[in-house]
Amino acid sequence: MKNRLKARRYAEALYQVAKEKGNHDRIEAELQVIREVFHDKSDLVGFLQNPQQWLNRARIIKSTFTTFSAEVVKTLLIMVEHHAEKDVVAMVDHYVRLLNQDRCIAVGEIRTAEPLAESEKAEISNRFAQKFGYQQLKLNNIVDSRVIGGFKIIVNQQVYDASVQGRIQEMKRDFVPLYKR
Amino acid sequence: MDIRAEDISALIKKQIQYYQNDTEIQDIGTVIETGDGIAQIYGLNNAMSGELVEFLDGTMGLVQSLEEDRVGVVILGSHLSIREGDEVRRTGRIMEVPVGEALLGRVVNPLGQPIDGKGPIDTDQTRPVESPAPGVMERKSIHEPVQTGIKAIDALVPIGRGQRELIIGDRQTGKTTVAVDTILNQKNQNMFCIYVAIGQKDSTVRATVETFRKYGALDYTIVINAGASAPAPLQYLAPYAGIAMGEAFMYNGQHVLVVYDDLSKQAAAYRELSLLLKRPPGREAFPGDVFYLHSRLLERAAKLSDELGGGSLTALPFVETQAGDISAYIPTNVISITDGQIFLQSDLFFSGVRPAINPGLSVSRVGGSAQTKAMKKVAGTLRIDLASYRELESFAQFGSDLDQATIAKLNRGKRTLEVLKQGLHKPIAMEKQVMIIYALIHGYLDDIPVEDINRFESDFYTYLDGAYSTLLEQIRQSGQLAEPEDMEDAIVTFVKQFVRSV
Repeated sequence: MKNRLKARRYAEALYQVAKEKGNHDRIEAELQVIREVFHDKSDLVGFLQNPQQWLNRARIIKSTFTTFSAEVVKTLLIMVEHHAEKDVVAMVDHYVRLLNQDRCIAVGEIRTAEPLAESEKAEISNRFAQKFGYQQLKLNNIVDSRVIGGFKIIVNQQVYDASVQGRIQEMKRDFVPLYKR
Repeated sequence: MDIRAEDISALIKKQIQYYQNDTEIQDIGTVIETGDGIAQIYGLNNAMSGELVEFLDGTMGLVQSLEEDRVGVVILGSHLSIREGDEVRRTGRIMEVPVGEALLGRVVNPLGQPIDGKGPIDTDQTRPVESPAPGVMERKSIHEPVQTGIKAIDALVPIGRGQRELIIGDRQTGKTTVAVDTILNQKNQNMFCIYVAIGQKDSTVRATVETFRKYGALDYTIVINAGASAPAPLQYLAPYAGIAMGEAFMYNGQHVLVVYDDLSKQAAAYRELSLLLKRPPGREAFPGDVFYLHSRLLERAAKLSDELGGGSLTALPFVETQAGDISAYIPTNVISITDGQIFLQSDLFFSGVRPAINPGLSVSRVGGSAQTKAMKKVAGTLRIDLASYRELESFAQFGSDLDQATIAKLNRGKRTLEVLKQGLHKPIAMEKQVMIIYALIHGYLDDIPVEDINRFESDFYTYLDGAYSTLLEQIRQSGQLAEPEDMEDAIVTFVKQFVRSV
């Protein structure tokens, strides 16, 4: 959470380079692998952070990721050199988001009181993709009893609230003026 | 929170009419960090500075800093129920407080909620706490006086309606007393008062409110309290809430007096807020915009032009100094913003000069034109006389053989100081002030022993009320001095019958 901004800088740079070279789709697949390797509790991050290994860091990265594209390996080298090993996961997430933005695809969540059937989810996704301004919408169903009924879609810090909870809050807002709350 | 039955049915009717239309895509943010009354929020990309946001449990927040990927929000209310990951929603509105005459006689917090236990406030008018100050063409020169009822102020540092007069001094020098006495004297003066207490002990505020009640001043006064236990955002907002309530009266063509007690505590609260929002600290660790904090508040005090109704808003900001140091950051800032200052000194206070106003350091840059003609005439030379007395006094300590003129001057000076003393919560009407100063400058008090001046004064007022009420009425109505013969007649007859103690 804290270094969102830092991770975004690396992701933006990598994405621009990848787009110029035209291999941004391949890099995405590679980054997904790297995301698995660099997860929070991985031994690799701890190993790289060990001061005794500082001189070997570049060698380790180069020898481990031999089959990956040069751009990805270089980004990792720079990040490791800047002691940003922990931000790799966030960087990958940002990269995917940038890619999706260009493809007009968004990933969001749908909160319901009861789990949705796949067909329902697909229908809602189709219907709301346009409304949120995307061509395609991928929704993860989250079961949240506070919703009470209906559903609530959250995509990229935007919300479409068609839940009973939202209606109740809306009513409350109408009844009680701001300065009395 | 009161809900009436007709409100509900009207609302439901509206809801049915516009059903289906009211669900729209809204911006939300996520709390990523919270603590110390501050929350950092991810998202809310379109939020405006100063906008109100609503947390999941209905607590409101005020957007203070906008950064690239987050906004800093100060929480108005309890921050205990706000958790990381909570949803935050924009309201699209800036902060407002209730205004109107329903607030008179009430004690409220900076959000306008009553804290005096007298039930809800019955008003539906509100005003945003931040609003632009009146521009050049909307203003008018100050020409009506604020009668403070304090001789030393009305004679030496007169305050006009629409003026901003700083009251500055160390702790325990009687700053609050000056304001309280001024408010007490506004009875039947066509003036509303707003007393904003910032960072004070709740017991002190309670005592002040009781004083207002006892002297019948609460009927035209609003008290806003952000006590020492209130969170910093509320202390920071209190003066703005006060001036918003005052502006509503001012734009209605009425006259308002707003007292900020005191702005150094507000600046400290703002410093706390700014440091928590990670703004860079400057001199004395105050943020860079602490000058703007006070200037935008005090610029809203004004005398409006006749087209706008001719209302006025007089501001009496307080600043507490440390050991008489008026060159600290906040005092110099506020001195440069205001139209003059009343300087209260602790050594004067302890030597028995109360109110402990230092006439040398106190000035009023615009009040002179607001003084009544009568007061201007009698008080014209008072300041110079006092200054020359101070000078002579220090000389006279060395030499014993003084000429007659010097002794006379020293005598007059001693009596002047004595006349300018005044008891607690005893405001004096303008016409009586004029009479006593007239008597003083024309030498009628020179034969009265210094110890008797106080008694002379109070007996003189009683005597005037009884035998010369028409003379007083004439001065009050016209604002001019009466015929010299009439005034002298009143003074001479009283001096003759006054029994001296030695």
